[in-house]
Amino acid sequence: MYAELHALSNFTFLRGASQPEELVAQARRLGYRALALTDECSLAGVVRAHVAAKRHELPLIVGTELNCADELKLVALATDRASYGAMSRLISRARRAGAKGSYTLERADLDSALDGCLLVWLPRAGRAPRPQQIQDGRWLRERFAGRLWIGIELLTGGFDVRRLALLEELGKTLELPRVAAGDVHMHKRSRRALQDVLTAIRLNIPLERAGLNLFPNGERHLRPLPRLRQIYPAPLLAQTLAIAERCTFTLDDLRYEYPEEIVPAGETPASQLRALTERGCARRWPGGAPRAAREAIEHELRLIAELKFEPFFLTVHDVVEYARSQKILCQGRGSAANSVVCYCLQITEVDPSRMAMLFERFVSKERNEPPDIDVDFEHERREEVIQYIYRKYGRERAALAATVICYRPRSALRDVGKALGYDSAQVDRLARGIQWWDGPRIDPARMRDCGFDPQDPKMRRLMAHAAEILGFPRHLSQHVGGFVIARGRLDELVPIENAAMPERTVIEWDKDDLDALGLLKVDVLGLGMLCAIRRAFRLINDFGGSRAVAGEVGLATVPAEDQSVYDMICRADTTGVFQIESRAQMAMLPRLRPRNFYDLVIEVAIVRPGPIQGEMVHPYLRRRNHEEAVSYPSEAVEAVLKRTLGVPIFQEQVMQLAVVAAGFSPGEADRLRRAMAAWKRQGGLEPFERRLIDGMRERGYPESFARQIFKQILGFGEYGFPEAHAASFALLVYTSAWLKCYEPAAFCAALINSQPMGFYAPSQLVRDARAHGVEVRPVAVAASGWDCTLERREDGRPALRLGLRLVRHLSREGASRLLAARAAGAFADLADLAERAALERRDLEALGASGALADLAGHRHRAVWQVSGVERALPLLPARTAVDEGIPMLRAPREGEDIVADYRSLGLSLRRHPLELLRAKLNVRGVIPTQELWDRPNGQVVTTAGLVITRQRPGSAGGVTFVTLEDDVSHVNLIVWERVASAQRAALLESRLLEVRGKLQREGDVLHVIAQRLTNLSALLGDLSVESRDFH
Amino acid sequence: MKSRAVKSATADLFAAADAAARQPAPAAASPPPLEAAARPSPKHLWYAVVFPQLNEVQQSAALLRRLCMHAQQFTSLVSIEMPNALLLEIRGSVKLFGSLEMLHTGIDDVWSRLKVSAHSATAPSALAALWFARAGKRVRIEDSGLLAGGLAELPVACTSWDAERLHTLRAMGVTRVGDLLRLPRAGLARRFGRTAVLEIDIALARQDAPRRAFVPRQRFCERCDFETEIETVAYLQQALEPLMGRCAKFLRERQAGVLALELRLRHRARPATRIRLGLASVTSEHRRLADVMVQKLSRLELAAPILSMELLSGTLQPLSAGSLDAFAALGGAGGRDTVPQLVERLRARLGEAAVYGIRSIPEHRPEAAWQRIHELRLGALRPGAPGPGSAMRDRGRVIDLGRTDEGMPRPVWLLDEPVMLLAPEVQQLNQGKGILEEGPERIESGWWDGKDIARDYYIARQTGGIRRWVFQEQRSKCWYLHGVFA
Repeated sequence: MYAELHALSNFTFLRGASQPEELVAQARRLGYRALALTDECSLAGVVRAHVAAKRHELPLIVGTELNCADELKLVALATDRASYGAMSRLISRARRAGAKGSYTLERADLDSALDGCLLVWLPRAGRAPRPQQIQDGRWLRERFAGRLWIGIELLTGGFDVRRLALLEELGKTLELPRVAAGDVHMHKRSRRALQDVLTAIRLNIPLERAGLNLFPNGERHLRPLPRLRQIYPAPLLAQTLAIAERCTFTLDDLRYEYPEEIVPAGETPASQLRALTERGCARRWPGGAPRAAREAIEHELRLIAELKFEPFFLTVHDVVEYARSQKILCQGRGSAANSVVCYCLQITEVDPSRMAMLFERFVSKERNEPPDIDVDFEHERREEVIQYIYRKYGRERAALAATVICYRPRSALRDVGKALGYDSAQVDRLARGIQWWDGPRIDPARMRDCGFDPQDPKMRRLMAHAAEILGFPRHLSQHVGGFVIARGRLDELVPIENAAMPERTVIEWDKDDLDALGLLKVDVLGLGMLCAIRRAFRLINDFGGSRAVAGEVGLATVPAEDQSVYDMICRADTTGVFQIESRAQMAMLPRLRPRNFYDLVIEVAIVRPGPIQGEMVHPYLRRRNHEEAVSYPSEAVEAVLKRTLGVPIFQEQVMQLAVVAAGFSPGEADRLRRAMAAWKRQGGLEPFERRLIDGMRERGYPESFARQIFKQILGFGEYGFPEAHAASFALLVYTSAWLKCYEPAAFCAALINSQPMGFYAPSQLVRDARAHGVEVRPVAVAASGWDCTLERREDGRPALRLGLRLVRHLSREGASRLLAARAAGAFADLADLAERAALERRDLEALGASGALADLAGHRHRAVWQVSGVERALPLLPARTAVDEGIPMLRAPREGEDIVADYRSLGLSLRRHPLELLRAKLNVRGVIPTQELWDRPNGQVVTTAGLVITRQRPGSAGGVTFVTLEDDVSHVNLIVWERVASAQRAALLESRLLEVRGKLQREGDVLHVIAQRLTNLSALLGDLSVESRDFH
Repeated sequence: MKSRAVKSATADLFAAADAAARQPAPAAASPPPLEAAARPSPKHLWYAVVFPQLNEVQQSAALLRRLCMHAQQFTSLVSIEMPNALLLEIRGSVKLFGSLEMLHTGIDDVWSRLKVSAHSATAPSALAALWFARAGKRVRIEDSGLLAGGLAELPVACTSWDAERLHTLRAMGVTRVGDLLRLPRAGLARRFGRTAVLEIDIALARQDAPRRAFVPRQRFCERCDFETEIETVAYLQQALEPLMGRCAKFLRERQAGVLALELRLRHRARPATRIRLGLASVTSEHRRLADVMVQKLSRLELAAPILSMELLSGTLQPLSAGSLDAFAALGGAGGRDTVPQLVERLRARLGEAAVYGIRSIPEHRPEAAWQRIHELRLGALRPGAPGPGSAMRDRGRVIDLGRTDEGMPRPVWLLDEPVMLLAPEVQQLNQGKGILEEGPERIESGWWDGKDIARDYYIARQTGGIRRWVFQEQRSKCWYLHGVFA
């Protein structure tokens, strides 16, 4: 008997205090006939509401609240696809006219807009009718006759009776029907306090000063029907149903239509795809494709044709072709990427005949939704690809998906703290108390650490509301590269907003929203490693090629399955190698000992939270090392799990198990996959659990096996790797490992030139390269380029020359001028350099501080003295005259000073390791060099120390922090258990030089120190700037 | 006004500074003398003191002014060196204290008594003294010939030059002032400007430098010891009279007034009695000050005989022309009190809290929608101006112009505490629908300060035409009376 026609979710940022899903569920619980989600000039939350409404079988009306600049307030509701498009277009127009995150709507914008939408006008009623309202009503009636209502919202404000009478009278005067509405801002009254907090945050004032800006009461929630009956006359309630019945539009009516221009005239998508595939097939297999591949192609093409997915493959192919034409390295991944068709189309380099994958798993008939292909491009050149897509399809048809930025512990504490009246210093202190590694929760103990009493009532309010606001959307941002391309106008599909970057726009839906509606998107992602690999190839080829390869080195020519490469990988000698350079991966390598490409695929996939939480790692290792028999509960299961020794490691294996062992259909299995991805956010796996376990039991599997599989499914939820992803990554793992093994100088140079990326800073990369016999030469104005380069040694091997890019504070422009001047002739002295390169003082100082002027000016102190004496170049004046002045007696820097200066300017030093200088002091403290730890017996308690190079706290590791310490000889890895970490948090997080006392743990080639006591020795370093890279 | 024990001097000092930092700085009563421009010749001797804990500029200004007052007992030539130092010219005071050693120690003792950490040094140039103090070297150098040798050991950072310059120097390997002194003057000037070289010369006392602005006293503070202990209030009043006169003169000379005075009475074996005088508006008028003091003292009962007394003024406030006008306008023609005087007299007799104004606050909760104010603002007293007690508080438009939902009217007069209605009254409300004239207006608000309310307000008409403002508490369902309409 009631449909709520005016409800805002928290996607009306900082106004709505409930998730769309909560509103839907509550409306259903209260027995509402329908719910209109009417976020203010936005459809950002509507897909979530749609998904929830389908689950709860509640009719959802898509609408929006619109506030014109002149205070005219309306709610528009979509009746059908066309009116939805009109609404979306108006929202886009208003959003594009406003600054990011806001909108501007003039009354004139409503002229000839909102065709077909129903409108509820919300006059701001006072105690007496106003002439303005009559005018407004007439104005609206002229435009929206027959689909316009006066909305009456009675919110216990004191004058409800008069207000009702007044609006009824207004309606009679204007001959407009009236309807009840609730101005809903929250699903339950209990969100009142949170709604107040949001208001205070929005207005940026503390609550105690928010005064009348707050709502006087909590009436703006979904009220129970009996109460509504008390408040509103029955006809007003009945009218809500009349409106709801006219709104037959649902988001399921949106069908994605592929762009047309990828098919040349005279061709059909199918014929075009076949032609391209055949052409590619001939290129891949010049002697003719093997039979299996041939059959796969036919099978895949048939399936694609059946589902009419050709335009999707053609679109991705088009983008990849463009990248290839621009020599931008790229690599496809995603469930459909490793098909034979994609291999032929050069979307991927992974030869699918080396894999055992079935195309159905990626493109299923039953699912009838677009396949998933992500393409990684060199991250520095991804923008070129993005601009190409905009050029090709136009901005009105292509846009990036949104990423919803949500409250996280820090931002929640900050904003709620300010609202509750904590001053900015306190708020900072609170927020700083939360570290990245604390994960998505707020721990009262942290508050105590920051000097706040968690029991204090105000602090308790803060904790409670900060916890409530966690996960609330805060604003929309750009997705890294998810493109939506429409055949017609995109803004009739989904509203488009301005993004933060100029000239960028973003749609209001995120990846999950698009997925839920089955809309196609092409992921154009950036990957740093592709940049590094391309650079390494180029360095090698420019140097004259590699001794290990005949001809040009490239992704396709790197020799496959080289055993020296695998030897190196088995030693965990993988600093800088894609993916397997992380602590967890390095610890796994000596145990898993990969010997071929497929082992790498497994290695990449197994060190993931999914398999770790699903407890699949150890069974796999035991079976691989023949410590445990490989057995299968049935032949069907064997077929699925044989290649991973009976242990499910890839996401699709888990789904396949559901099919073969529990009787799921492929479509059901895929729904299971989606549910897996979403269960942490919204639950909903229970029906699958029952179905899975019952299905397996019926088929004779023991319940323990079924439970174990379900547990593995949970683990895979967010983090599992599909085999196809792992395979694409494994190719880059192998390629980068090959480069490291055979071309360490080029590889190191390429990694430094591609910074920031990877786990290690240039300092560690250079150290590692030197340990592998690479000669590294210092930054020098006479020899360095901007990037690191290769120089030919006398023995013909390459040496690595550090580039000017490492010099802190040196401008790119200054460096370019310097290089141009050098090309014209070598520099005679400093004045010559300064003059010909027209360097700014700042650039000169940066060079002086880096030691790059040593050849021209002597030691650092002298260089800095001379640099600071160079007169500023004046425009229009002839070359400055060098001032003839003596150089004072400046003492040469001590070694320690030079090392400190090296680190400060370059982030690394080619001189001795700082710890070598400190060794005497450390000896006194009983510190053992890391190398000597290998000589100690397992289980001994030892003290060691080193520079902190990485800290890592993987979500899967149960609160363990991994720390890598570096001293002058080698590395050591620490394991810091949660108990130790929280007790010695400051030392753990703040140390640059860390001393650790702990128990030695050795397992084969793996050595760890289990930390017991941590001591911050950073003071010994003086002002050495050592940066740790922290990961989570 | 209750008398209370004197807190420790430091606490007091910092409390005062805190308060000063919170308030907007008062406009200077009179423009400070720009350049007292003492041009010191080598015969000057400078004591510098650095308070390392002061670094936030906002706080330190107020605190340094306080510390400056303490320093002024040693010399009248005290200047503030922001952000954390004082400079005292003490050549003339050496003799008074016997020796430089004794003087230096005497000044240092002040800081340790106040429990502020301080580094001090004495040198024939102000800058050198400051450098030494910053470096934490407690030296006493009288001979400028010894300066270079002494300074050489200091780290360059004691110059407080900007970070960039210090960074460059360090990058040249120049870490001590001695390294700096060895650099060629021309080269130094070219790199860091002539002022750098000049500064070094000034530090070495080779060059004179004008000293900036010595600080005039900012408050009245005078102490009077009695030869024989005073035992009656009458005597106290008599003894106070000249002190009050001097205070008024002090204020007049600075064209400033005060909002508060404090009188401290010291006794032999018990804590001092502190008597605070609050004034309703800024004044410097002798008669007004004395008048309020008399009123105040007339309520005083001496706890013990008085050994000495001290009269302190509050922070000096500008005496605006407006305030003078207002006195005339509201004036005590015909011998009657002006309004502020009336308020002061009432307060002195009835207690500070008894006389106040009220101000409306935009808030949903009726209890929180108004506030007492103690300082009278003259504008508020002008006839016709909306001010305290204006008949209908204008709710709903104070901040948010967008929200025009007008709530029910509210009575001007609220009960201090809502009174629960008795059963018969509730019955009456529940029965007669006509009795509840208007409502409900639901107020649910205030959870953030722990005074959350959830009430439905109504206007109820009583027999006899009186309209009462009542509410039903939502949780208990009890009815309360909260106000009555005039």
